[in-house]
Amino acid sequence: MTQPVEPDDAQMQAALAALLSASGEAVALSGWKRVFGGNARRAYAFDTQWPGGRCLPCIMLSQVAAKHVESDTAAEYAVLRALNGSGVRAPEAVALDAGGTVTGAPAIVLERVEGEASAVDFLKRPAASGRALSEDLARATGELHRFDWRAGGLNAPADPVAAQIDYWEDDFRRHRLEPHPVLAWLLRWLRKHAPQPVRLSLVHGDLRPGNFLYQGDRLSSLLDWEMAHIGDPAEDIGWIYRALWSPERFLPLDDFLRIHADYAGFAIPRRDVVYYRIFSEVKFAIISVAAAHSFASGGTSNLRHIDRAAKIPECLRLALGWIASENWGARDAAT
Amino acid sequence: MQRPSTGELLAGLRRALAEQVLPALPHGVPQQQMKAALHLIGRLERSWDMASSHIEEDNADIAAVLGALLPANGEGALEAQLARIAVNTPAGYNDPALAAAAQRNLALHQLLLEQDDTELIRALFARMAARDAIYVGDRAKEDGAG
Repeated sequence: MTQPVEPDDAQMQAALAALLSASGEAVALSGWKRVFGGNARRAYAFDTQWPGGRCLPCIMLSQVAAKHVESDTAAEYAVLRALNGSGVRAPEAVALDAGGTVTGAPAIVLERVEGEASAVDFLKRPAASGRALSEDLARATGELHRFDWRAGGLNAPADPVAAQIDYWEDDFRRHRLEPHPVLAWLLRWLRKHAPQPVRLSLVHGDLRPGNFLYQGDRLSSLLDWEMAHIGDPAEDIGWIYRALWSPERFLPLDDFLRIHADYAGFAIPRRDVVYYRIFSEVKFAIISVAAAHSFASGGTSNLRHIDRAAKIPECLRLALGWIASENWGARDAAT
Repeated sequence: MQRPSTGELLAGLRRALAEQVLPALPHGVPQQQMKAALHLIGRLERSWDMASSHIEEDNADIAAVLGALLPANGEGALEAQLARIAVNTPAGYNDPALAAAAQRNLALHQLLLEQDDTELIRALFARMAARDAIYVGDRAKEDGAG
């Protein structure tokens, strides 16, 4: 797979100005700069000036081909539009270029929020400030899960929990380079033991250190909404507490859950989080399967993906350990 | 015996690239690519000579479990079932014996997909995951799903 040819910077700025001015207002751009957009997207920072005098720092995120996490730019934009003005800490959604008229690939224009995103710096913090920021992460997560997504015009599949398992199983089957019997069994286990969510929420889908901005001890914005969906809010917490980026040393899970409940308006059972810790390991393993496939098939030459399959065994080992840690049979009988 | 060994060669390659090439590369993508390459060379250094014993151990363990679960004779027996599974010789092997073991490993894994969920199978899966985790010996901290 090859990348679409990217227009030069002047062409992109002209096309972007036209896109932003499509409503009839002539929007001026300044300060154009290419910035790091992660492994899956290209990013461009710039400032906008609107006819009424409004100035807004913006960032444009553009898809790249052969990603290991597939996403729908229009769906991400719809989620962010729904969140505009809701109080959930998310960047303002400014414009959608679903047709790729600016960069040659689907792109979204968002408010550029100030803050630092480094997961490494966050996880290296001294205990007190690490705890303060982790507590604010729990508050921001609770605010997100309290959001009335129905009023925001978002839709849910008939069975959102099963839909997530379906999604990842399909991804697994399309990209696996070998049978992976343990991973296939774990998917069956997840389907059999899925809990009934205490409430359906807007789930970020990739909420972890590295995907939020912070200034001091305050979280300023949640980022990277590509995997957002309606589902069990316990899913986000299981992902946040994955061992390799977990804030557990600052804030034990039970403390996080207490703060989250205060801000979400409902409590998530701890065992649902354990279920989603298993789900998270399976999901990460499947993302690794897809990344390995992407390199092996020539879709990417990013060497971060060449040996990504080496991540899979530890995910499976952890998932099996979480399963062994609970009496799931008794739980099934009780529900 | 051949000195330097493959492991020593990989260690030397990694050291030279880290000391002389990495610092000379521009920041950004070139350095990121070299760091990822160095990480992989380090992992190969730790695991290059374990492939044979790893696959043989995995094959023996799976065959023992399936042998206990499947009929001893007839179409349902282990070897008869493996014979019906078509698996191409996997790419990337130079040693014919190791290639054959890897091919049998893929067939055994394929056959495991068809088994019912039993305590024996679950215990096998736990051993397989633990064995693979040791074999790949990955030590890198992930920096995210994205």
